[in-house]
Amino acid sequence: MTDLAFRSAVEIAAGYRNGGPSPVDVIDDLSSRIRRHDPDLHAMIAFEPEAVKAEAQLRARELAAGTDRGPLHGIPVAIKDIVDIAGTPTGCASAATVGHVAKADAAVIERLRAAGAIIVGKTNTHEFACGGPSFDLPLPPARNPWNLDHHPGGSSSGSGAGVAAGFFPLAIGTDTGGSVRHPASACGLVGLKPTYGLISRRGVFPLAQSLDCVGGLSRTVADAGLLLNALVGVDPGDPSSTAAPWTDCLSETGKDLSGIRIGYVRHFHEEDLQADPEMAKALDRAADLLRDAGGIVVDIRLPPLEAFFSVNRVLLSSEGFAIHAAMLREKPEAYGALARRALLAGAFLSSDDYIRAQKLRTQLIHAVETCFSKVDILLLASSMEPPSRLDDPIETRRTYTRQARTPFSVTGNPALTIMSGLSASGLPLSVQLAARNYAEPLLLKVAAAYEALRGAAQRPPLPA
Amino acid sequence: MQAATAAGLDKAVKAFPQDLIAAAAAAKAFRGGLGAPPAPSDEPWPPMRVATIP
Repeated sequence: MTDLAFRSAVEIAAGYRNGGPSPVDVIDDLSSRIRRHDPDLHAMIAFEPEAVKAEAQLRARELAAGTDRGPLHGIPVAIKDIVDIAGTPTGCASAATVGHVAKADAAVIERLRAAGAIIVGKTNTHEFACGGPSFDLPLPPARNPWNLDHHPGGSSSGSGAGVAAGFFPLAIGTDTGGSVRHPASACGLVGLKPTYGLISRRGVFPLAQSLDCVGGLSRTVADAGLLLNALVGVDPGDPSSTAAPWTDCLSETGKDLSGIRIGYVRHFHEEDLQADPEMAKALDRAADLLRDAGGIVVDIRLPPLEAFFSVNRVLLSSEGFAIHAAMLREKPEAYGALARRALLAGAFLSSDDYIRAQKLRTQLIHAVETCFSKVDILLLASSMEPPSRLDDPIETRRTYTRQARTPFSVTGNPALTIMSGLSASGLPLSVQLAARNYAEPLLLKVAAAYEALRGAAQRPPLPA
Repeated sequence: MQAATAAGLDKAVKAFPQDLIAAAAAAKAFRGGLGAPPAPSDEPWPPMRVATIP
């Protein structure tokens, strides 16, 4: 196992400035790892090592010449294949997009380039970021580096698998009903869905505009903050874009959580759904650790999980069908079965259903806001069990409904999943934290405190 | 299948009837999860209140 492969972005960046490995050294190392493991993992959809190396050489020359673009300078970042990179195909893992080449960089790519990041390539995804792991697409689905027989979560599956496998320290994903946080949970990572509107979606193929968020996957909380800092900013190209009220989301530091009120949402995994005992135990352990750090942990109730899930699915299906309707009418055969079924559901929902879901969404937002008048942070489950086997589509399908990620897709609040340990079968367990809108600094502070108390994360059992 | 045809999905009706059946079942489940619609007079949001109801 190479050391460079599992260095965090913070560590790599420090090395650049302290005589450590250069951007070229890092890219050479990571590229060889991608070449070795990706034939089994299928995390990458597009990876051109020579082009990536040329970018690394450019970043190294800039550093040598004294041009330092900041903490992401020379840091490798991979991009989910629904995000436009000028001059390259945005395939969305679909045969329906053949021939589409992006004319311009998406807003997040512009920001990453300005920050000096090295764009490593495009990562695998569920088709158009919906459906599930499919075997009838142009490329096979990504696999979980903790166990190649298991699902890495989705839809940002390649981003999760690649970060977990040590291909790159950071990756961009998108989250409409949990698609950043699911792979983070399944692959033992940190997955951050920021406040709705905080990161521009210009140049990102939409799934459901009233829900879509761009987010990041990383192996550490500090790296999640570095990435978020680089990506926030108002963009007139995204009508939902809003400004962050802070300039540094990592400004709140320290392991002391004294005075921070943490609401533990037990009923999601104890009543509304029954979590796997190992996952439930991990949540209780997290509550204990946060209490030990000085947090005031109290039980709190939100509306039933099913209400959030149903609202999310009605909105996602309706808005998704509106985007894909013309293509589904003309070329339904261009889609894989899972995405086709997921998107066609919108054809059977009425305007009444959509408006009713939006009304209920307003009530759910109010309920969550009321909770946040009593507590500062919510602790709750992300997945209800470790990731399913990839060759068991029925169980995989079932796990898509057995999760607690949709609440914050519906309400827009920032939410983060983080590894909590390993199951007896060696698969990642996770917990989720959520905060008030725009309270990413506090969310990251609590997550970092938990990360420190939890101890160092283990690495997937991939050979060097 | 009538709803699918009305939505202009004739090609899918012919080629992927099972997908449409699965999609309709999913939509029904999602709708069911929303619960019963409130009576218009019970609308909690003033902008959504039906103006003609006293």
